[in-house]
Amino acid sequence: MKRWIIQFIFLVIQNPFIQNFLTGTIYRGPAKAICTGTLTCYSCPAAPFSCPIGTMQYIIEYAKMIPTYAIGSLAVFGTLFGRGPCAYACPFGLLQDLLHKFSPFSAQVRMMPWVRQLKWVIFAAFVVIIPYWKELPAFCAWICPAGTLQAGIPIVIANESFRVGVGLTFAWKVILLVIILLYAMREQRPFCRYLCPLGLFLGLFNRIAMLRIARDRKVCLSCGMCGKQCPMGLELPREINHLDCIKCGTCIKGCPPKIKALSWKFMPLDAEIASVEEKGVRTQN
Amino acid sequence: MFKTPTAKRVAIVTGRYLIIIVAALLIAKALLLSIDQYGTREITLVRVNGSTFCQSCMGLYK
Repeated sequence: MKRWIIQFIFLVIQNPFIQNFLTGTIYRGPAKAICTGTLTCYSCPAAPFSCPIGTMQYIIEYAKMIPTYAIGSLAVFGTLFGRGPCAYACPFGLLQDLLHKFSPFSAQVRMMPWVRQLKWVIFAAFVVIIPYWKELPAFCAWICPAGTLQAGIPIVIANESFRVGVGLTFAWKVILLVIILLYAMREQRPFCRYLCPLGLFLGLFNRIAMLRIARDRKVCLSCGMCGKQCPMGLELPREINHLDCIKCGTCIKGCPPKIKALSWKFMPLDAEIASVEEKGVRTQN
Repeated sequence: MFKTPTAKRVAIVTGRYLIIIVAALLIAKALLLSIDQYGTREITLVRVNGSTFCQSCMGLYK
């Protein structure tokens, strides 16, 4: 099945209450206790679930404790799929993909080597330190463009009681959202590449995740064809299953059909390819 | 770090299952154990917070 179809299916699953956009209200049922593996704002009128990053900040800010539930949920997602949810289930990732696909200015840009580390600063400062220290969900309040798009703007438009209090912070968040979306028309998935703390957290599990992209070094020519369309701009095949790899599978399609050095593997069922991958054996005539 | 590919593979597989076990324990803690003297559980906080307008997304928080 094509990736964009799966992305749309998850978009619908994660946003079933579309009618709430008209009233400016949110779903308040028991499903709100479920943290997804994607950046879906729990204040989005259509969302039935909770955002793990928002949950983390709230638990740190309110209870001054380690957010065990959000960490446990993300660890399960991460160990099973790594950053796979970014590629297949994140609504904001889908929007960035669409903007890049239909943009006249789109280009295949390599990931900027130092800027990619910005995610660590965002996670440490805005998800952990400031919420603990200042009792403020800093990532949601000052950065999260998904929250602005899915929750902030629709609620402000539909709900008059919130409209009166909107100020400079909201303006800043809208400007940041516009900048990110405009840049997404040039470079694919800039938010996922450089800013997303959720992607960073899931990416920590990439190396050991059960879902992995296996590279058979016996046949791989290291020609780099697999990296030509990588949405994250990684240096492939060297950075397959890297912390920033979203496991979208574009590299598998990019590998020349006669070679087929890359394939999906759901570990630990496979041992042969993994051992080839680990040995680094390459017999090239 | 690992002397043989087999050792690396065993470490990865073991680590993977350890993480899943620890994650399950963390979720169980959030579901079952109270975090204060009133018997509040972490999952209750998550659900209540998720069911409330988070005004930070509108720049209205504090």
